[in-house]
Amino acid sequence: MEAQLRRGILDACVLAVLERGESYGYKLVTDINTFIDITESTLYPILKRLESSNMLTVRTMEYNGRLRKYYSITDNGRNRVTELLSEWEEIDKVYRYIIEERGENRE
Amino acid sequence: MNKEQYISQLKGRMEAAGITNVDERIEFYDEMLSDRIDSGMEEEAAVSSMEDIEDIIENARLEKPVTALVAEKVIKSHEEAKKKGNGVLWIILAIIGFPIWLPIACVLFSLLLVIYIVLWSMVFTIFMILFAFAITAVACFASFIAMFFGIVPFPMGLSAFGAALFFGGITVLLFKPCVTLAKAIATMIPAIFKKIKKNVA
Repeated sequence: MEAQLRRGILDACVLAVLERGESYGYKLVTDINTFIDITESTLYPILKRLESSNMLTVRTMEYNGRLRKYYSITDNGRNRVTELLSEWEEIDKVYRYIIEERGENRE
Repeated sequence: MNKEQYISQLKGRMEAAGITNVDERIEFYDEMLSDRIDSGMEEEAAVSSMEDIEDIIENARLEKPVTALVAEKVIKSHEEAKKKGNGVLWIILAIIGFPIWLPIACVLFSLLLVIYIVLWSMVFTIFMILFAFAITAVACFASFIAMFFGIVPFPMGLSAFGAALFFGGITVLLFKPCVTLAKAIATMIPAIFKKIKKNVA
């Protein structure tokens, strides 16, 4: 998958999961892995990027005698998901157009 | 591999690869591992389910802006070229300077050989001195014994006995210090040559 597109999709995936509620790193990986392959080393820069662009906030809480980071979506993040979905509608239109064109040419 | 080993290896590789925010990243991976273990995985299984360290490093490197990666690559290739260039330069200099450096090298080698021989000679000399005292004591004592068979006159035999006691005493007294000194020199020799080798390298 083209890197830019994949990045956009993964950002949207993380934000979409966070729209359901606050979450932490390992849970995010397992949740997202049910529909797209993601590793920790892919998730880390996404979280950092979304945090620095104020799309999510981070808080550290004690869990089981250790510290765990919890991520929550912000309004900016929710807006970004909406934007990505509308962008996706456009991509989908182009995708359908290409499919139709190919179908007609083959006929 | 256990959790501690994985984290320590990961940290070492990140630092060696010049990755930024190492502590923060390590915190992140440490949390991931702890969460796996808390979810019921065995420690070793949790570590095996983690990403390969080299893949993590590669992905972290790719996070850098392309310009930074290109700059890094250019600097690296520049350094390699510089090193290669220096190597060729050294070979040329070695060939041209052959009439100068060969006699110097020969002199230095001879000097080192002389130092080596002198030091071992010192050890040998110490034992030879000790041996000389001991043999003198034995010879004097033999003269003293010969006195009883009428071979040596009585005054000479008596003085030989005195001399045997004297040299025997000196041998006993000097034995321990001589052995210690010889040992010290013997252990000093490899240390000196190791130091010279290290300085030359």
